[in-house]
Amino acid sequence: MRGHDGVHRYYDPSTGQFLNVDPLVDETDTPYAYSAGNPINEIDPSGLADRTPLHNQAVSLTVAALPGSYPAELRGHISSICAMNACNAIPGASKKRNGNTGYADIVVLDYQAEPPTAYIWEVKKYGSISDSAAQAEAAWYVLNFKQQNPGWRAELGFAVGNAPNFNGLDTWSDPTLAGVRWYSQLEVTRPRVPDVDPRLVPYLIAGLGLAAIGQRGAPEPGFRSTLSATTTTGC
Amino acid sequence: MLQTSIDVPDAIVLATAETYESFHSISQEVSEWVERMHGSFIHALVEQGGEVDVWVHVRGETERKVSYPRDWEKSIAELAAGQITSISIGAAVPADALRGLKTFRLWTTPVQGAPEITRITFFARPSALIDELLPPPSVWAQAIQEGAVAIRAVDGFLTVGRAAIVGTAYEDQLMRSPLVGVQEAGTLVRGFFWGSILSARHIAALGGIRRVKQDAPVVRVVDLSRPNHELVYLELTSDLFAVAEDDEEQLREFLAPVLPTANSVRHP
Repeated sequence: MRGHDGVHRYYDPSTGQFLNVDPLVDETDTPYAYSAGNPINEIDPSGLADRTPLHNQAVSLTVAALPGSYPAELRGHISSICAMNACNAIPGASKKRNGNTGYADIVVLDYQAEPPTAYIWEVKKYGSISDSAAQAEAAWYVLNFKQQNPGWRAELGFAVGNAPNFNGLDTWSDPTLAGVRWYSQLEVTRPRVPDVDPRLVPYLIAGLGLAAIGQRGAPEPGFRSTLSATTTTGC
Repeated sequence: MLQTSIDVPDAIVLATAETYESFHSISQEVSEWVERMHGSFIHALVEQGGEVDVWVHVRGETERKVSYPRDWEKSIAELAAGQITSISIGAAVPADALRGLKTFRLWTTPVQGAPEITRITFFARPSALIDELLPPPSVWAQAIQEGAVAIRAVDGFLTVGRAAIVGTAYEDQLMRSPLVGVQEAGTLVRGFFWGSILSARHIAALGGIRRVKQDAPVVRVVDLSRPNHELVYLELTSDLFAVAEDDEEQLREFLAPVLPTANSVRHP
């Protein structure tokens, strides 16, 4: 466990990237990548698929808030933070070792604790999954980590300071639910862009824009566009 | 030394009991116990304006959220009928709900990594008891005793400290796998706690029920035995939040025959 390449990488929250190449690049095809590479789809009714851009942003915000939340026994120790793909490199933090896919969202490794200790988190969309199921997922990694790393201790991750209202995303910990980090989207408080006239939607989806309307025939009687060029771009 | 102080960061008050019985065979008793817990803990929070969050796992389906209170009775009936394999209830007074926190949680679930073993557990932060948002420790003690009887538990505990969700503090100290701890819980205890549930093999190893009642260095011993199921509850001190090191040490010595050591071998 000690000295594993995968745990000696540094994450830069400002760019969302690791500063050296993921040693598992051959396996993951995502050099430097922070997200799981699962692209655009944010629709996740179960919350279990949880590798959406919002989820990845929540992981990123949590990683940024982590050092400020270290318990006394961890402060000043040589430690590293691994997130998402990097957790694949840690025996016990990846389900790949057990024939499945998936990995813990965040692992902090404290090399100077006695015994050396890992703290493990799962990041979940609030309301998409029960408390028990969310914590059970983190607990699964804790158990596996303990089994696969003799001499190491593993714990459910400690409460990390809240990172409220960052770019429309709120992330927080419940101190009584170790190992789980919740996130949720905030209500939009900035002035809203006017709603799109539903009659324009087919054109916008097709990427044709307002200029194309004339080519599709005249608008229906009474139609009056409320859109400006900028709102069209925003759609 | 175990940490039982409420000064431990992220400390929770936690009560747990574990059983080797199949969940199906105890579903009726579990549902009755959950109903009683609803009356003692959840309903008290609802009366304070609290919100309740109920999730169930139905055999062969994914976890689903239950509309509360509308479908509460239906869920209890499904639990009694053995259709539900786990239930997760969280309740929050308004001040906690606003911050995305829960005031109290109650779960009945298979143990993570050992699905043949079922656990009932309920927990909260200590301040929720101290501030009287939740019933006092005596009610918690009564609740875990009733739960242990209902599920025909092999072990159980009531404690204050960090987590004990995956492994107990004692198991952590020994670097003992909590999976081994759970699987051996009918023979070796998982640590020493403010409240301890001991079952037949523990009691026998300690010299029998008479000796436990007579010699256990605790303030209270409750015999919970039923036909074919010997069970006893020990309470270390009169105050859950005040446990002296000496008290712990005496209990540790008394439980030595059933406390795992670093060299403990797995029971066949």
